[in-house]
Amino acid sequence: MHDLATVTHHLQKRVRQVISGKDEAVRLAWIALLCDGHLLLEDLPGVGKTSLAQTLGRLLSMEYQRIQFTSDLLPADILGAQIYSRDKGRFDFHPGPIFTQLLLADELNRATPKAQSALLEAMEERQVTIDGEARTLPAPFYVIATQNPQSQSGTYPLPESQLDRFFLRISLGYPDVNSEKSLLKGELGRTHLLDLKPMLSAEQLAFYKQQIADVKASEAVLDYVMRLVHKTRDPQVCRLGLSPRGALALMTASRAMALTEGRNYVMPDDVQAVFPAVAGHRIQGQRSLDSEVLVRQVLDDVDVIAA
Amino acid sequence: MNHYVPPMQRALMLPTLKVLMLVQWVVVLPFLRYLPVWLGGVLALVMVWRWRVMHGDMRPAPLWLKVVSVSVGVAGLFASGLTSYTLDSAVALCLLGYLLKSLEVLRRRDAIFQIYLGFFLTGVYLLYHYSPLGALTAIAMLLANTLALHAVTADRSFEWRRGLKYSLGLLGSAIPIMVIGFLFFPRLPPLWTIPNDQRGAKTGMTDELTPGNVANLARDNSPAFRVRFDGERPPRSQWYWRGSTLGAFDGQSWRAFYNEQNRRQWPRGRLPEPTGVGDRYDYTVIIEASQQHWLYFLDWPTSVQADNARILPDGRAARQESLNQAYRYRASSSTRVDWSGENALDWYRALPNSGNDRLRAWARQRYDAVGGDETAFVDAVLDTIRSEPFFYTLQPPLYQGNNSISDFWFGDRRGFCSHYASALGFMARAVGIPSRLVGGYLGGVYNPNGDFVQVRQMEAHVWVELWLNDRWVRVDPTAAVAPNRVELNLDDWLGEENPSELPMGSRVRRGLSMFNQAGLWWDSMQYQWQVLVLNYQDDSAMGLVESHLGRINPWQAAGFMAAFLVVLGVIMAWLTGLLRLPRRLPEPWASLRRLEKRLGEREPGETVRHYTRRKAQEYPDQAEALMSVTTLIENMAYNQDQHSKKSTETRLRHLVQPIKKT
Repeated sequence: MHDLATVTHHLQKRVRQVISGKDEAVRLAWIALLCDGHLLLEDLPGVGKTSLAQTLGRLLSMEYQRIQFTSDLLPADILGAQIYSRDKGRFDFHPGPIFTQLLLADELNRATPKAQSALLEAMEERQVTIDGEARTLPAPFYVIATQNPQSQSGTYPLPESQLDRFFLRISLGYPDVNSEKSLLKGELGRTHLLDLKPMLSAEQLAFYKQQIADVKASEAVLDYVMRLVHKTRDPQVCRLGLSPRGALALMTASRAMALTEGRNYVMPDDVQAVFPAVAGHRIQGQRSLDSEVLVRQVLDDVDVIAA
Repeated sequence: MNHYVPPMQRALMLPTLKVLMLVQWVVVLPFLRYLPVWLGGVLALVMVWRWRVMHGDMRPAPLWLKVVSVSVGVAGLFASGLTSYTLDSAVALCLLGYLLKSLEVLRRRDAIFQIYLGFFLTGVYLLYHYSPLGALTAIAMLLANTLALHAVTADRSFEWRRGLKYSLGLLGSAIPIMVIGFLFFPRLPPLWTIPNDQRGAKTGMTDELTPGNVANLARDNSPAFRVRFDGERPPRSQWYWRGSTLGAFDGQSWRAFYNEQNRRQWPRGRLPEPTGVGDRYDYTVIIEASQQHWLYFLDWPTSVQADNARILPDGRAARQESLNQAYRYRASSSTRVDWSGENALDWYRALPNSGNDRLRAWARQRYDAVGGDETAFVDAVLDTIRSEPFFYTLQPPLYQGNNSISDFWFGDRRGFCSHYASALGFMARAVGIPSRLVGGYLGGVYNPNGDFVQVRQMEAHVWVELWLNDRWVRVDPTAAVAPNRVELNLDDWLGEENPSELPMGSRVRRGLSMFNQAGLWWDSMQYQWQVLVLNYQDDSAMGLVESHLGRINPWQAAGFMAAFLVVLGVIMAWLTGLLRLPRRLPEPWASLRRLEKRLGEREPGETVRHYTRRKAQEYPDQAEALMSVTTLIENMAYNQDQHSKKSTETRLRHLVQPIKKT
């Protein structure tokens, strides 16, 4: 079996057949899956969020569902409902689209808070309760949610407590010139999705997952992580700092990052590579700084090597 | 959205504000009696204002009010006569600022300012009071201010118990530093002196004496000086403490030949010291600040060890600077001296041509009656005082004009030492005997606890010296009218003769023997305080400095003090963790630092790899070496299975060694 670095490389190569020039975003998305974490893709409409989610689902041979969130979406539309069956003379449960392995929640912030929270509860508990009956979701269960920038009209911003449940948040950004050119030529895009062959089985995925816990983190790195976390909690810098859950996510993501780089020990470079994705949606600045700027500021200010 | 407020701008809690107000009282009260009365009024007004603002009954002072208050306050100081720049006016200005500051003490920054000013004022207070009581007051002020500091900086709301505990702890831990400062702080004369205090009234004997004009001698209980004898004490009756010698007489006033105005005309160079021929006494004197130059000695002085002090031909000795703080000196005295130096006897016979004619005639008549025998004449005069109704009183009527002495002698016959001395001195001159008045103190209280004699201002005395048989002889006419004044100390004497004339303190003391004991104990403590604290000076250390560096000028002294403070500051900074001595970095960081020194600084947020990559682009020749260094550093720091740590470190150093800018 290949090591994780090779697998990551292959994965990036395959994804390139559909979306090009987004290797780092792909790697981060892949890390989120490896870490059993949900992913939030935040970007403008039409830059390939949905394509990325679909590609990943297909490559990892996961059962895949998609929910388009709209303002009139109801929780039952996500979870499913008891429906009376006239033939059998009883209520049958019709599972909603959430009963799947990879769920793409498209434009999550277009739905009302009530609908959002139905999904977000499922993300945390990995089970749903319908009419007083708890139903376990299939394992693995991933959510890749996409979100339009909050400044756009017709959006209901996710509250901080719910944002914290997303392991990573990444944005794709506009494609570079060459990628967009090939897209226009028709060499890329969702049409090629069907050509993709699954590359990892569930067992293989599980095998890689368990390696993450074994990645070493030296005192020097742990100290650096603590300094970063501490900095985000400095009231002069941030209004809302990184929670312990966030700190844990930072460490786990860094471990996974090290593995995808072919190392079994974490370096500050790994931490820095995942920090924007881990912290960007979790911390808030004192001044209404762009989260990207704030994260950059924290990274710049905190000494990598013990002061 | 909550707005971030920096700590210094934050509003204070009500309990804290109350503590601050209380502390302000504690700091201002000790000064109150030196200040213009209206400043006390300002204090009261400001306090009322502040109390109301604190409770939200009034709005904080607007800017115009502050400006007006400051202007009015400064104008008031001017009006009170504090116009020139003196210590007093500076202190008054400082206190005014301190009081008016409370118009705006609502935020932490203002409170900190108030507290620092409070500490400063504590220091100022010590300029005025250096007695043990003053020190205790200063400590109370310090405690109050540290308490306020705690109240302002504590995270939680203020609690008296914790606050007191904290401030006492703070003061307690400051004691070692205080002791070190006390022992080692260089007390170099040009700077380390208490500033000239113009306010302090001159005490002790003046250079001029006009007996008739003094109606009510101040009965001042405060100490003039304290004397400790090396061996035996002389008998009580010998406790004549000599200060000024008044040899020039103009018909009303007696003046010193050598006074502060004609200082430049004093004899120069070494003066012959009188040779003692009687019993010799060696002693140490600590004299209180008198704002004068004169030192006091047991009659007669033979030598004195004080800076630049010399015994002048008329038997007095002056210091170069006036005594604006307590001062200690050593001296020797003898009961009889041989005055070989005196040669200007005619000065001491001079009289104005007219005035007191009746007394003049009377004296001549007596002189003739004893056949021109000088000693017999003096005895006759003293006999007259004894036998005729002369009275000793501290509240005599006024005798003024050209015939004042005559008026005293033939009129009321009520007076105190200067009246009698003046009369005898005048009569001696009238018959041609050289005479002069000596001002000083008579008596004192022996304190067995501290083994010293304390002489108080109320024991001031004047007697006469006559030139009889080729030497100066002390004649005290007061002994003739009130013999016990010489034998007893003044308290006892007045207590027997005239209890109503005793000062209040003495009266109470006499009434209660317990008080008497406590009084002695208190005097003794003040003496020890002066010996141990005020006059502490490591003379040998000083001598060492001077012998190596010569005489020290103010700049050098300032330099020494600055150096001392810097050293103290560095030590304190180190102890409190503000200053960290550079530590030896462990590998691999030491190597990284060396690399940074050669190639340029690393940004804080830059990882080792980012840094070396950047430097490799700058210096492509070093790229390969940098790559190996990076791998090694990363391995050492983050991949912790280094089995041969030492050899890895050596390898790293070898790798870093050749890397340099190209």
